[in-house]
Amino acid sequence: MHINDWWLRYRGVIPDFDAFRAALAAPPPVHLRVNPRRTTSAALRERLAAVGVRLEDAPVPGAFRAGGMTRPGLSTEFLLGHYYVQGLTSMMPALALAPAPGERVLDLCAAPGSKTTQIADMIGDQGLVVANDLKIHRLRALQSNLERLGVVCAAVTSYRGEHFPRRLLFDRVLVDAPCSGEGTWREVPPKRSLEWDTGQSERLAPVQLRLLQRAADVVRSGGVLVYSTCTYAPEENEAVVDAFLSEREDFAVEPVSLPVPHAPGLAGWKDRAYGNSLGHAARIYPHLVDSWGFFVARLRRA
Amino acid sequence: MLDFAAPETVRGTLEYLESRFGIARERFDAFTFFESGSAVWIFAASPHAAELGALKLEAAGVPLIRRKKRGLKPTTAGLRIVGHWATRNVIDLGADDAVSFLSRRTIAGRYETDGGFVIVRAGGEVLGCGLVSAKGLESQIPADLALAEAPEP
Repeated sequence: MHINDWWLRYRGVIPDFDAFRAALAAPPPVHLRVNPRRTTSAALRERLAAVGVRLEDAPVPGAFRAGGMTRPGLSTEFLLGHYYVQGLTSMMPALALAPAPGERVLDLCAAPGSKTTQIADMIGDQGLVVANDLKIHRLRALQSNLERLGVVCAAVTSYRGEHFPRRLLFDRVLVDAPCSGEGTWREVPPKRSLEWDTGQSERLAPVQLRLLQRAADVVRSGGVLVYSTCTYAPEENEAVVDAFLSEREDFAVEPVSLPVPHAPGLAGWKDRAYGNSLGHAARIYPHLVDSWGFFVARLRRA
Repeated sequence: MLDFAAPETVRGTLEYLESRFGIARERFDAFTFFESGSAVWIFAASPHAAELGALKLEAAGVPLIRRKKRGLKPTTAGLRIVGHWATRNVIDLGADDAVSFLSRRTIAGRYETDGGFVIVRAGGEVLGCGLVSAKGLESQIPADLALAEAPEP
């Protein structure tokens, strides 16, 4: 199906649908996170200003919108590990997770490491972050980023997520699940096919549910579990969390406080109604905050 | 696969870094060491580090030393964390040479350091590992941390 026809399924679901469609045509701005191990916001701002890049404040501490930066992954400062390039809304899952120094945190689908490194920043490298991912080339990217930033509190594992061992319990677990990636669809690159594979959500949802189930097994009592995707499809978002909650009464969705505008999770989709607590989840849209589309749900174990 | 480093591995690593670079071994009190067949890794010391024995590890923290046939070699990633404590076998570069070094080029010249691996800095910041040889200062910056040949537009 042509992508433009695919979006029509969200008319009536996404607020201000025409503005949403318009936002998809524009490229998202570059955002970055300062690496506190290597530099400060003020020092990086000054260094990048010398090469024509303006750092403008973003609503996340230590994060900036980088104006005039065309190839953020090639600069000297990037290679020296002074910053990490990450979409503003991609920072929301770790903010929802809200890890604290001294805690054990699992990032179940971690590569290439944007959330892992952000979590490590948030705990000041004090504690333990286990960054798991399955694919070998993705693990290389993850490890390269951890080394570039000098993150010493993260360990990398390569378990199939749904088989992650139950031997260790974590204070907080992030499942930033593999998804159809609708939220990354902005300013379509010339070579990208405009044909949308309409079967993706149906294939991914069972995988996402199994990841969430295993993640839940390794959250300690009272701990926090965050489920996120970069897609709008309810089949991969509310429906997955709803199916999970129907069999795990020891988990509940909590309200999540995020520093960017967002819409509540859906009450239902097509002929399915979701549990009331899904309204606590956050749907992030590119016309409400100029970045990628995201879904974030924060759950707590009793 | 990684495991907790054996005591003799830790001892050998600390002795090397102290004798070669003057980095006092007390500097490493904040780290737990792991090892694989080819490398020694530093990981933030915490009560949780011991729990990693329950998992099969691909990496733990940052590799600090690689074991080569001809001896130990410090990594660029590791030196960027501990290299600022060094008191010898350090070379400070000017801005132009720093760009060459980050581009993995060899900088001709004679250096006052011992031959072998050195810590290369510029503007007070550790850039990474270099090798002083008859050719000059050979950059050991790994490919994924190297400046591309063409400058950024």
